Amino acid sequence: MSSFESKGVDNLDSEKMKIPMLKYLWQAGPLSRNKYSIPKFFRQLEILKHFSDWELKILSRYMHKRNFKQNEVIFDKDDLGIGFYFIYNGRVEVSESDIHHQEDMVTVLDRFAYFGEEALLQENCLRSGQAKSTLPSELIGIFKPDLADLITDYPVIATKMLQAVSIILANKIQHLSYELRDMREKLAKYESS
Amino acid sequence: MNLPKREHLKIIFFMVAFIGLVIALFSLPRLAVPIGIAYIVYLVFRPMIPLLMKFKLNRNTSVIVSFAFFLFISIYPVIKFVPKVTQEAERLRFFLPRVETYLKDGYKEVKNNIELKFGYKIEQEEFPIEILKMGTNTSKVVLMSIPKYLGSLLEWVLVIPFFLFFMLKDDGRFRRAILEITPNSIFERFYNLYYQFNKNLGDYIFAKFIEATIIGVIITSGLLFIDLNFAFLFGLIAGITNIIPYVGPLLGAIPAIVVAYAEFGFTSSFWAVGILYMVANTIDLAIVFPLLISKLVDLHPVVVVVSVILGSQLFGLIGMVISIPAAVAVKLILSELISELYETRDY
Repeated sequence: MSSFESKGVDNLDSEKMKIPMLKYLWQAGPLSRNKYSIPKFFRQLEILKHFSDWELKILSRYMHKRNFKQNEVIFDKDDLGIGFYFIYNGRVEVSESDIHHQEDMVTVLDRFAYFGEEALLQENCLRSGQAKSTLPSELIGIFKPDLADLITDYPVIATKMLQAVSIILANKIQHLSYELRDMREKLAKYESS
Repeated sequence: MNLPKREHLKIIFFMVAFIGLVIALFSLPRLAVPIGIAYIVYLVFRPMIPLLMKFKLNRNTSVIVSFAFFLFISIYPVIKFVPKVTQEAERLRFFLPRVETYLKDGYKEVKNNIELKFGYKIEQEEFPIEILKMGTNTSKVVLMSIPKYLGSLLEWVLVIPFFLFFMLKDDGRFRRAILEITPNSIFERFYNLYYQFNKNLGDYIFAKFIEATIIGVIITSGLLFIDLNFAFLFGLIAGITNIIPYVGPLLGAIPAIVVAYAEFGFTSSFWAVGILYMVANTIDLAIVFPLLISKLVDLHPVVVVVSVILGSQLFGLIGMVISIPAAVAVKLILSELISELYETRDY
């Protein structure tokens, strides 16, 4: 229950207007719906939680909305990659081939998911797998040139963006190290038996 | 990659639009030249905008301040130095026949001295005179065209700032408009190429601008110190010709050395002019070039020379100046195409 409801309407005059409520009323305006749709979308992403509303608005100016048809390839394996994508709408299938070149690791991603983050940090990044839209999809992408511009124009926002990407990659590395540890344990058990 | 039919059509449309734009610009030089110059100036001034934004100025104010700075540094020298340079160019026109006489007399004297000391008579009477005539005619054409170019410069004074202002103000919009019609299948490659090209070209032009300014200032102040006529004109020529790789510094030195010979003969002042050009070019080769440019232009010397020759063959003096950025662009596009077609991306 919010503080507004618990204190009742009678106490409204004695209380100062809450900023979040003002923000809600402002954002609920019919004219602002389309204008701020990307920042609103970003607001719901966990990895961008450290950004203020103004920072998300600036960040969205450096993004590109790309539309993909059903079964359209977003990028292929070994393509030169410079972009990090967020799924605004639709569904994307990311498939990575194993060492025997059989495409057996498929990840299905929906709205609010993201992929291709390593391309932002890596020099001359080659895509490790294929990304394909399995439904008509709208993606929001930030690309290396945009990040370079963001670094010169708004260094603080660029640092926050890089921090967000680093967190994603750090989580991936941690996950991989756990998997590696499990594999080692399994291998040790297998060797001892 | 198996592309749907619609994507193929998008790629064809994009390519046709791109090639059409290039052809249109080539066939409309009156429009293409000011746009090209405005674009080069835009690349030089664009880095100023984020710098100004650090002083809590918003983007539009930063654009206006950068633009005002451009107007100041372009109008001030025009008011201050153009009349002087034009005057010097006009004066040189009347000075040239005197140079010719000096050189002819000098040649005769050398010939007579050789005949007296070694008893060898040089038969060729016409050959050196012809070369001299050719040299004077070429320099006459070049020098006479300077006021004409300055005239065009005044004509562009209105058009170039107009294009430049909107390039600075709406650079993001132009880029977005191009990227929005870029087909998905080539989007990342095209954007990467577009960015690399602009970055390389911007860095190269900025570095060359600094290099030309340094050389121009050294030569002008040196010539003023030696008290040679037309110091500002020769400083300007040295700065501009320095943009042309390898042959540029030599081309820039010839007029000053010829005039120095005509004015001073083989005296210490003549040698001082020669030494000044050597020192300026040594500073350029030993300090300015390695620090500013060598890292930016990763081209083999053979490619550089071939590009300059091709540039001069196709577009004359302007071709020599733009040959290196054009070669960098061609190299970027070719390496991207080769890595795509032959899958030789070795990262």
